[in-house]
Amino acid sequence: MALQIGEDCFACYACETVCPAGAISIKGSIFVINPALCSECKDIDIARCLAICPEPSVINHRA
Amino acid sequence: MDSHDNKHHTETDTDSRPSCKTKCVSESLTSDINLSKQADSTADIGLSQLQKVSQHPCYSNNAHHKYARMHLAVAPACNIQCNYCNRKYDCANESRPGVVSELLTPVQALQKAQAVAKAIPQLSVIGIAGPGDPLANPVRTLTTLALIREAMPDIKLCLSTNGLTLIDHVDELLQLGVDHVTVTINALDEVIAAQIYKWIYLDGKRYTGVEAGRILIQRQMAGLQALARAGILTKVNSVLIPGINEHNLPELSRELRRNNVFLHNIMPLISQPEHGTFFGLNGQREPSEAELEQVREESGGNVSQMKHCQQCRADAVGMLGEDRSSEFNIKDINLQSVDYAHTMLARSRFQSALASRGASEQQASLIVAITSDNNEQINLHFGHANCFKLYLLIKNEHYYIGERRIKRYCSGSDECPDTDDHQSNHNRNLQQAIKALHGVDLLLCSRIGNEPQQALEAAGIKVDVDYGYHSVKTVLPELFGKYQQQAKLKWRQQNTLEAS
Ligand code: SF4
Ligand code: SF4
Repeated sequence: MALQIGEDCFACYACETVCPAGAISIKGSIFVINPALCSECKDIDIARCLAICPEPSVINHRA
Repeated sequence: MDSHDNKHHTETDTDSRPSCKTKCVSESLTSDINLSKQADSTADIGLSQLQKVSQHPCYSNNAHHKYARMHLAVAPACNIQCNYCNRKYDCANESRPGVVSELLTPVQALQKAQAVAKAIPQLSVIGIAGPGDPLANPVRTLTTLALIREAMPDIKLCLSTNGLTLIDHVDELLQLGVDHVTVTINALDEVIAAQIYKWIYLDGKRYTGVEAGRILIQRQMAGLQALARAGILTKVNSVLIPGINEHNLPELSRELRRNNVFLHNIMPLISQPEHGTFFGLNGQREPSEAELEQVREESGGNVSQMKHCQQCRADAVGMLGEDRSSEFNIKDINLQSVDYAHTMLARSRFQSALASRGASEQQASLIVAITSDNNEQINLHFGHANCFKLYLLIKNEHYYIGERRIKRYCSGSDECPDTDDHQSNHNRNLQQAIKALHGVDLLLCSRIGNEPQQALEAAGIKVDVDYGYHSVKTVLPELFGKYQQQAKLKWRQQNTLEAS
């Protein structure tokens, strides 16, 4: 179950820069995660995008 | 980058300066040194370090009237959450809070840099300062630096960083010929750091509290040491946060001195609730003028203090204290317009006229490039040079007018392995050097191979190795006589060109 970026994203590029799967890209004024590419960073405890996002509540697990 | 610059200890007397004609340069050096009240804090900085400083508008008290700098906003991401920063805006320590820079791709950044260099011939330094942390965006930042180094040899490069990943990139910065690095360090003590940083992100993991402070400080100090070893000029910025780090900053200053840091720039915290920063929202106050003065005073004996700093934006353009960035929007820049060789020529002509107070526009002159690792002797083999110092010659007068830099592809040892790879590196170095020397009439070096010499002469650059290991300041005044025919020819051509 891939992660999802909410509308409060303010496009700081941090998650895009650290995503090892290249799953994150900008779409309009916010970033989005491509679920087909996201590996959920299973190799580590906390997803990288979550760990670097200045506003981690912006990123959620997909319902 | 002249990694060997550091070795050469020079007094700051008039004689050791590259040219006694570069009056403003020497004055600005002196004023920098006086600032610290202790001239010896700069005593072990080599002359070429001083020369680097003297032309950098942010570092030299005097240069910011004569030279301009530009920041390229290519680095949006950040790997640290500072309590004085709201990531919705540009970084608060290098930028005016509340203003978001126009983000550029590396290619756009190069185009903008060339357009600005053409419009503002005083432009001497291009830096990457944000809007996030440049080294949290290593691909964007290093690609931009490499593009500029390759295309614009007459520009100095600098970079600002929070230092978290600096240690991982010093080698690349050295290879790209980055002259100056500014590291923002706000504490030497991890407990104090824990009150300034909410978290840091390193290698996939978020750290908080004292652990975050410890990792950050350790890596910042390791980064400073690596910069000192590489001979890269280093400045440290600190944000003074009253009640938190005022006692730690003088201590930090002492540590900086041990690490060869040239300037310690202590800036006041900017903290208003409307900026939405943690400090702003939690009533952390800004320091008073008197507090700032006092901490600068207590730190000043350790490293020179810079007092003319304007906290500028990540995309600032122009002289320090002015911002012309709105004149250079990427959508207005003609993307096809890139003929930098032509621009570079016009820029050296401008610098020549400036240095000689107009004399170069009124009589025959020559532009000479020298290879030297200490700016005193012509002591470098052409193939070992990654920086050429340029002088204007008019009769027996000479004026320092800047430098041209190239990126090195091979270490340039005398015993190069005879492989294809190596051969192609040599060719690339040579092609780059020829491009970088565009507009230069004469090259003085200690030695040069046959093939490069022929290639240079074919490109219209005379090569003279008669002065190997001679002193620059004795050779230059004597040289004009030997080449005056060439100077006159050039003068005539230039005038016919302009008349037609
Ligand atoms: S969870 Fe990992 S792989 Fe998925 S988007 Fe975030 S950083 Fe990329
Ligand atoms: S790190 Fe957070 S705020 Fe920044 S672009 Fe990614 S989701 Fe948006």
